[in-house]
Amino acid sequence: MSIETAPEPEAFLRNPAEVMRLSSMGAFHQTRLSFMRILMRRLACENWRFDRPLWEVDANGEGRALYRARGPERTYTLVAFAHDLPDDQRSDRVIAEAWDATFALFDGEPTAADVDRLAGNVPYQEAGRVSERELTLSRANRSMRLFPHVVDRLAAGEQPDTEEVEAVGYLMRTTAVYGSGKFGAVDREFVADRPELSAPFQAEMLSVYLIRAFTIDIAEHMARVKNPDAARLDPALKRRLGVGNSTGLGMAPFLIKHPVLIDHWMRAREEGLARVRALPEAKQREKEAFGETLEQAKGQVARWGTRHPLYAPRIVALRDDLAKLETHVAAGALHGADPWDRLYRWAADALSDDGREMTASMMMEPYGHLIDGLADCMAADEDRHGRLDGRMRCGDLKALAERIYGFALETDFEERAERARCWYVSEEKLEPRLGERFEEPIEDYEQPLAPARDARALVHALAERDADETVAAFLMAAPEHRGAALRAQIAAKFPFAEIRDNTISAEMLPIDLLRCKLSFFGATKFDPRSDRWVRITMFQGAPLPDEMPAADADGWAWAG
Amino acid sequence: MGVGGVSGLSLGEFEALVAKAARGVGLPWGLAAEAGKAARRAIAAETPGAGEGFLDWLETAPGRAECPLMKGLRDRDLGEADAESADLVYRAVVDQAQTLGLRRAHLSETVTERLNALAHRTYAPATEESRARGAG
Repeated sequence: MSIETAPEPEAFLRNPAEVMRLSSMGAFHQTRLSFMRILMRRLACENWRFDRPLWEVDANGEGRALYRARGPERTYTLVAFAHDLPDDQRSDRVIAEAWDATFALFDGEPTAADVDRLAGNVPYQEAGRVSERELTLSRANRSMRLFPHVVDRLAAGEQPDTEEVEAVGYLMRTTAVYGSGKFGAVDREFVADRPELSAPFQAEMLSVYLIRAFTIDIAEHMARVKNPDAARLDPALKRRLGVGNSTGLGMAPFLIKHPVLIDHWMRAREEGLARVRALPEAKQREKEAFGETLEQAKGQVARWGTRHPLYAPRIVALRDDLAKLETHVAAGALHGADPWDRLYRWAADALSDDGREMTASMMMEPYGHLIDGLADCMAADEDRHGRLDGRMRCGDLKALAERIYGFALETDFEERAERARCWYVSEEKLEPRLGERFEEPIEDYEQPLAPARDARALVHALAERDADETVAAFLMAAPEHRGAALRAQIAAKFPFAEIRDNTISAEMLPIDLLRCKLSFFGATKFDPRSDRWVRITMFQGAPLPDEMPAADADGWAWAG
Repeated sequence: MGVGGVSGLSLGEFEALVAKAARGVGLPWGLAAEAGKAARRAIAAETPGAGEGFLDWLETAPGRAECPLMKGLRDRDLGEADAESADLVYRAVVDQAQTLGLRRAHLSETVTERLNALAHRTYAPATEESRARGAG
């Protein structure tokens, strides 16, 4: 450990007022602290064992399978149900009612009765129920481009086209992975003290990791149905198959609803970057490690495709950024004192938002000993920190709200464009939606997802009160400001808790919120299909369960 | 057997249901969220309800200064009640929520139906337009 070589990283922390802008959050990439990578490091380090104790799938592709993950203390089992789904029912939309495969992650090893119980619920997803024995509920659809191609090629005794595998990157796409008490699953508070589940979203990431093995098995199975002598997938090609994911608006409000948690995620990542920037010099092997990551990143970005009109030019610019970065480093940018701080400042000045953020992610790669321990700081006790301090004086609350929400006070919410959007929940599927406030009858149903507007109203209300009055007394008289008052107090304690942008503006892009959260998962190849849903790839390049514990359990992330 | 079958509702589901029901009767979102948190805490503490019933409260005078939630919040906001006695006030809020297990909320059919009906008021009626434009 050489933490002592990192003097005063505090001085290198980025300003939340810049980092927490949507344009910045929407340019994030995966890092060493992404949840997939935290999981994979643990699975390898603790020598987790994997097997498939059950495979009962028929010639139509219908049936069930179990994937078991055994750790030092506990076992988890993915219960998978394979379905024969007619093509016309295959939809990534959250309003779908049938899927190619459905899954639950069981806490322990399920009995036959447990699996039967799940068979009566899991295939129905939101219309079914799981129990406190289950950690997650999820489903996936086949890629209609790659899945049939792989099955047909294997059935013909051949391997799929590498180009096709690279162009899609996965056999199946998950369209939701529910955890944390959703649809009856166990609440996080009852499992959060387990080391393997203490970091965020570890049960969800383990589910997806095991689903990945299922997607390969079901493709090989369907090939064998066509031809008992079908080829098996080349292990090198298997590695190139991740799991796709299609994410819509349902995920977006999470970042607004969990300010303490988001602060902890952001703070860990920003602290990691600050520690690297604070290093007085870079050793030769660290420079080499950075160079290797950059080389891998160039390949990954070269394979990153999208037709989205905003994203396609951004990826072109990012490729250009990486070429510039390579030239800059080759010219000796990492020689001499304070190499990483100089490099970051150069990137912030010379590169796009995407390029700057990818440089930041890559800078952390050579320094696992400085970064990886921060994973322990990413969980949050939201209940403890979510309590309002009513003894605070109104004048003090006003002052701190003005400091945190300066951007909001400068926004004219009388302008229609600044409040054009309205977050609401429709009775149809009980999922968050984003509507047009002035064109649809939805304002009466607005969700509390506009902290900037609400903070501005709070400041104006406080201006009318006696500065010495307690916040408790103020809120007894004006309870409609309670939510904003609590957020302001949280943001005063946790600098990265609050988004510094207007989340109901006509200009707002929901994909920025999605991208931020998905980057913390460890997603790659963001491919927006509109301004409000995005496809991604997960675990591409990672070792398969039967290769674990693999030497490169953490080295794959830039190779996807 | 109530909603959720034999295994009941998770605490997260119960909190969300109570918060939506509280919003459904017109409480500001910030107060509705506190009602949800209070209900969750009461279940987690496995304390039988006491005092005024949660539904009676919701269906009569929520948000008034003398209601148990407002009193509990004021005391706790001011730090005048220690956490435990403040939680006792919170617990009163879930009088009707019959709690049988430490980790789950087991509600009667009646309570469930009434809570769901109130929560439903927070959902916008679905239209073809919203389906086409707003959904992710």
